[in-house]
Amino acid sequence: MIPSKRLRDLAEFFGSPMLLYSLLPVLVVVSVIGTLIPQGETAAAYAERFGGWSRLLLGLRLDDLYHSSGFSVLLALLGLNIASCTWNRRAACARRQDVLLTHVSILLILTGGLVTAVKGERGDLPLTVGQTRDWIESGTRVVGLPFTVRLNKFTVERYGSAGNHLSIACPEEGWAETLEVQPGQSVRLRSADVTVKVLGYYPDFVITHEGPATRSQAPNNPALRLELRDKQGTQKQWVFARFEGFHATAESRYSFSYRLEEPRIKQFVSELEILEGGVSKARAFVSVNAPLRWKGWTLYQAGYDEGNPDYSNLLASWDPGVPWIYIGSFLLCLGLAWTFMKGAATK
Amino acid sequence: MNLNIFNLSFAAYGAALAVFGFAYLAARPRRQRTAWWILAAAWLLQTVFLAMRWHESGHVPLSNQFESLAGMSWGLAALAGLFRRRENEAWLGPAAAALCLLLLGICVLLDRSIAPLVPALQSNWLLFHVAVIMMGYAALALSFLASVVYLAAYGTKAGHESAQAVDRFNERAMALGYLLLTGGIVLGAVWANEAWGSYWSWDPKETWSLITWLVYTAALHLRRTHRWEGRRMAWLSVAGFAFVLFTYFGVNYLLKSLHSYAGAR
Ligand code: HEM
Repeated sequence: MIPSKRLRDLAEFFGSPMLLYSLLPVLVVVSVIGTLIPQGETAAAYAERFGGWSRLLLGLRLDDLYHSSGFSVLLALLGLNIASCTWNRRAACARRQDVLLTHVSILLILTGGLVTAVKGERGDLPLTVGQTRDWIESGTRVVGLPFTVRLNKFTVERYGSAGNHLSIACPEEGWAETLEVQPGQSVRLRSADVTVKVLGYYPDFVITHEGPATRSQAPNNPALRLELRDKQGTQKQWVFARFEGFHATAESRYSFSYRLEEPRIKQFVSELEILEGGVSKARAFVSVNAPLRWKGWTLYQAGYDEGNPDYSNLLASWDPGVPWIYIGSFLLCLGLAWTFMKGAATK
Repeated sequence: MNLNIFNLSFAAYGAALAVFGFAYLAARPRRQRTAWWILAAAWLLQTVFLAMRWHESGHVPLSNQFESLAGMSWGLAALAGLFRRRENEAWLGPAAAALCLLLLGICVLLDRSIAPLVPALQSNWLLFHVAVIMMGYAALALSFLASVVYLAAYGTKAGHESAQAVDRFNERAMALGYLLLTGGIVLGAVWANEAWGSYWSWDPKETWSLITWLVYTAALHLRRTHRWEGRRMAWLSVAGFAFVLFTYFGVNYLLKSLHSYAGAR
């Protein structure tokens, strides 16, 4: 096939090094701009930060720059550049198969990006324990899943258990001491002949008809019930982590302060069940870095809620671009390694 | 964590640099061999340190800026040793030792304590992704060093035979660094697809690594298809390395990023 002269001229233009050396700096500058302007915030947030400029900024789609049509045109031109220059230099490419492989693999990657953008679906899948859901909001559309997801259990694992830091002071005798205590444990103070016993730990303290209780296991309002024994006898005392300052009661010689230190989070684990037509098909644990794949969809552990220990935010994604990206990326590395080895052999 | 071995390897890098300096100033080039041996000892000590830290923390020591920077200097010394076998340049040893020393000096200023891994980092991809990127940065640093040497020594007398050797070294190091950078970004994309549910999120760290990649893509094209050599090549490499530095340090401190667990806390 001999392309017409018009086509040849077009390929000549789009495959020219001039276009490459114009596109690369433009892509660099535009990409930098996208990292300086926070992406994907609300119009109000931009108005607050940029004042009158925010209208222009939103008009130019700089709030979602990498998904704007302008940026897509730049990427398309880059792809066209590679394709045309490969075509124009096809004779040379036969001699430099490593270079051909490299350029073709970048085309595969760009294609993968396009497939993801056009056909991919992705959205939050928030669930509380016991709830089911079979749809997500992908962008502005509601997309049905070909199965139903139920959250059976959600656990936030931590490194070690929470530390109850209790400070006790006796202004009268002029001492103060901080210690770490565990429920059920008795500790003798170092500063005075006083023993503290933790009678109970209430992570989410409330008063009910039956008396003090805990509403949940989440540390929303942590409280300790203490028993103090000194030479004068025994007294009981409540301390609360959320209420600032020292707790002093008129009849007590001591004052207290209580701080609950939660250890760092180790992992969030959702126990999921997949249902199809009401029938249970699979059970799986999903945690960060360990998603669940089902019928072309992938379910990820995305987040949790400090205040609600039964709430798990999952993310569902269906992305047919991934194979293109993976194959293209692998071939790109192969092509570059090939070129590098060639260079090592000739020099 | 016992930091004695770290300090010892730090001191050994310093000793290597001192002997390199002596070899040059006293015009005793044969002393270079001694200095290389000391450099090798420093690198071995550093290897022991990293292995101990790996063992003690239970995770690969590439999980925060201290660890990745230490890893980068380890990779730099290793690559310098490998390059030396092909192109034994007199400047290579002292320049590599000096840069290792500088990187470890910055390490001393960072938080060196061991912290348990946050959920996002609990993955085997951590090792592959960060190790490959750090080796890539190390190779690009070698290209940068060659460029500085070129500009300082041959800025005005190109065409010299030894100038050509430095220029060739520069290109080899950049090509290797570019290969590793590409591999590291690809591994990051695979990991992101496992952990965040998307292989590319245009997070600032990702975007800046792509920007750096584009800069080196331009540099290598100019070099290979338009024969930019010598001074021009050296300036390309210096510019490229500025982008590496911003991607590595700047993004952590100046931009908000999903990657921020790896940076300053
Ligand atoms: C004007 C169009 C282009 C021409 C004429 C061209 C030419 C070349 C040549 C001749 C090489 C081999 C260099 C060598 O090893 O001797 C090469 C390598 C490469 N090209 Fe292109 N290229 C073009 C566009 C692009 C584009 C748009 C990209 C992607 C952003 C790209 C990415 C690469 C990569 C990654 C390499 C391997 C690294 C290297 O050796 O430079 N090229 N290109």
